[in-house]
Amino acid sequence: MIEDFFAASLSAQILGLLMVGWTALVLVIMMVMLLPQGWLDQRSTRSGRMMAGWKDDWMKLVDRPVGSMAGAEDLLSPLNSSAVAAVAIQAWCEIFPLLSSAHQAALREEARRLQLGNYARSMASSDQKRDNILSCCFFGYMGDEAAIPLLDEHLHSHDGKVSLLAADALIKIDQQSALMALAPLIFKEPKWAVDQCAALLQSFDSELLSYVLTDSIRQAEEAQRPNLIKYLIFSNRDVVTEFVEEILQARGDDETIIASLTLLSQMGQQKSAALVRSFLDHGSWVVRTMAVRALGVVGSVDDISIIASMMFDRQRWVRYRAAEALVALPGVDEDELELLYQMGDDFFRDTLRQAMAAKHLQGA
Amino acid sequence: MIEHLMSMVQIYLIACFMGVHALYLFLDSWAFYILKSKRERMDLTGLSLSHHHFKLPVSLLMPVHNNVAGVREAVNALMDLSYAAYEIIVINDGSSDSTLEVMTHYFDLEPFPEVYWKRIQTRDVKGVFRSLKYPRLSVVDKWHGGQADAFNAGLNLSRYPLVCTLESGLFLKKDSLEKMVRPFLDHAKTVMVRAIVTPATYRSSIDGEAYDVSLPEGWLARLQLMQILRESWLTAIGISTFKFTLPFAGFITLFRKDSLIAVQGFQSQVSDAEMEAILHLQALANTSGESCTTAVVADVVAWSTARTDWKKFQKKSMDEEHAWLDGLWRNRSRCFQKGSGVLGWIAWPLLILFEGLGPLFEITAYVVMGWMFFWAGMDGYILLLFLFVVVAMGFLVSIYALMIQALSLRLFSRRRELLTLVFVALFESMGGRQLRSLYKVVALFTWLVGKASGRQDSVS
Repeated sequence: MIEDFFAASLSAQILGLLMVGWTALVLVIMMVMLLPQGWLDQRSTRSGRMMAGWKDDWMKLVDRPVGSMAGAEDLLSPLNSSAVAAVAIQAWCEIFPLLSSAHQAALREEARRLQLGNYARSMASSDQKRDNILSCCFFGYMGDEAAIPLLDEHLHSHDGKVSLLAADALIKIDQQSALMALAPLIFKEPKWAVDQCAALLQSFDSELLSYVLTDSIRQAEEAQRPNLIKYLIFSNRDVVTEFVEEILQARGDDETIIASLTLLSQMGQQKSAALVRSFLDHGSWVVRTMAVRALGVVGSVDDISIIASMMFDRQRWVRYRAAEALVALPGVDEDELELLYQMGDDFFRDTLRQAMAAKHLQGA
Repeated sequence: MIEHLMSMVQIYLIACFMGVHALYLFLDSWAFYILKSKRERMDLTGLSLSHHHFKLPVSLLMPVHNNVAGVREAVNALMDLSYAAYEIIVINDGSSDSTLEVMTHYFDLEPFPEVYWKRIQTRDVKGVFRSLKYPRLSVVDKWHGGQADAFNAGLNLSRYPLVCTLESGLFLKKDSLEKMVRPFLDHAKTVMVRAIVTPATYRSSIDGEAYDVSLPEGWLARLQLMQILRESWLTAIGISTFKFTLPFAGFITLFRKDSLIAVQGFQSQVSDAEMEAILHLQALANTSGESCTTAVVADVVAWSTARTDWKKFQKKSMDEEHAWLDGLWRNRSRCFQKGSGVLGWIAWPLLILFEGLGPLFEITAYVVMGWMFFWAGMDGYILLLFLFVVVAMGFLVSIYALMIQALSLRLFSRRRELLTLVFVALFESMGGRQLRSLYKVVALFTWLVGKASGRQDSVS
């Protein structure tokens, strides 16, 4: 049967036909490859030109002298299709953050007059992520409250960029309601990477954030608390210091204490020094490390001897951080450090030298 | 009976070659579809400027070893990327020439007695230096331990959540980090992203911008380009839709540091540490219940200088082939492992089959068909059909890949470049690929011999 197959099919004609088919295919591929290059170049140049044109138009519009008779219709290209509107919105979004607040207000006004919001709404409902991203950006810059339900929807998108931009837009529109919407996505089941959550929280008013965040920490499970405490850095310092002191006094788990001490060392509130000192003899060396580091920031020259004594701790990381703390301590001069340098062992001298070099480098 | 058996072998060989070409055509078409749907999102770079605060900072790790001539240029090329937060860590991996002195002179390095967190064991670090001229730049001086050990030392010193491993000789495009970080932004649990590096000829300006980018010089380099295009880029882009990344050549990798440390960083005792790390991370992504993912950026982020010296090319290719075979062998247990998902049940077995045994199969097929024609009376038409499938279909697959890159990736899209590449594809199909397969078979045998003698040594 196999021999029959070869006998029947492998004639010169069949092979010839195969060759003809192959040649035709190769020619088609070559034509598709070589011919549309000009067209592709032209298309990308055309869309690039269109974008540049719209940017120019928007700039002309906001830059026109006060009392100018030229209206938006005279200066702008006609919005005759949704594709053109998408380019107009993209150009609008790209130049908006570069302008002064007066010019931004003018740009918002023109967008309202041209009813760009309607186009943005249909882009928000589109299944194209690019359109979703553009619409989120646009609504955020416009401060369009009517778009909040649409943005809420995009907040839960599987696409990280769409959800982040929706969150950003919500914050720009109304911080209070945005915080309510974002709190579960940041504090309970984090939807984004820590740095991105931090970037979002940084946009909030610190006072507003303090109360919501401290409440969330109180209600959070013990394992989640350390992560949330890190975000307190963006909150109101007085509220936070009081709250963190409260946590430290409760002497919870090591992770929570470590996060709290780290926060205190970042905020540098001197009134917490006494509380920080009480953790220098903690059983966990990590807690002692963080405590001595925090004391270097919130302490004073009176703490030199206490910190110097930590240079002989049984754990090398505590000693290392103690060296850094000594150098960082407000009001310590080089002579005192030199004196301490002579007193210590090799590790003490090495770490102190490193800490001094780091400070010198920062100064440079 | 023998004739029947011979006919069966002929059909089987022809069908196998057709199957392989059909698989490549399918993967290339799939990649084209992916590229087309992704392209619409690529032109939003203007917006990203105003949202840079969402982007994760990156540590660039670049080991150098006895590279006095190129170190300054290599570091300079990284200084001016358009990315807000990144640091450059150059690891001087026990250079015996004056590489460190050259860097100290040009970048104004000052010893910085850093006590850093040694999360991964490396050979001893002699010292850490910071640049007074460029705050982004740190240099680690360590005893020689090889590339993987150097990467680990850099990993220990790095401050940022994403790390990118670089080789000197790469020229990163200005917006490379922007593009590579994007998948981390799209999916918070992305553990690794790979992006395209293409061999090319380029000139660079003082401010670190590449211009005059064109096809690499020399036919050897162009053959390498054609091979990577056909077998690596489009395949990797195609399979990336299944949240899947394999250690193909022609890519640069950006890792999430935590995940890389969770898989013990780069293993210095293996010949291709990056391949091993990629596989471990892919396995981690497959088995983690936290829906970790990997991604491929379908865009060129860097240019590299292709190898044009035949002897160097031969030696390096043999080393790479051995490393690749080592990797395949070492990870053979990943095949058909319970819970290993697509990696263990489909991708890895196919890769071992194609990359490990494919060249041997190909060369054996040529020998068998030749023998059957000259000594066993095989019909000339069957030989013609076989040659048609091998050469003509192979050429078709190559120019199809070329067409896809011209329409979507647009790496090389000038007509003259495309026509040159068509000739390269023709040459590749009519001898280049067969020679490479022969070379791979030689590598397989030398690897087997080395392995056997290694085993004897270890036994004695």
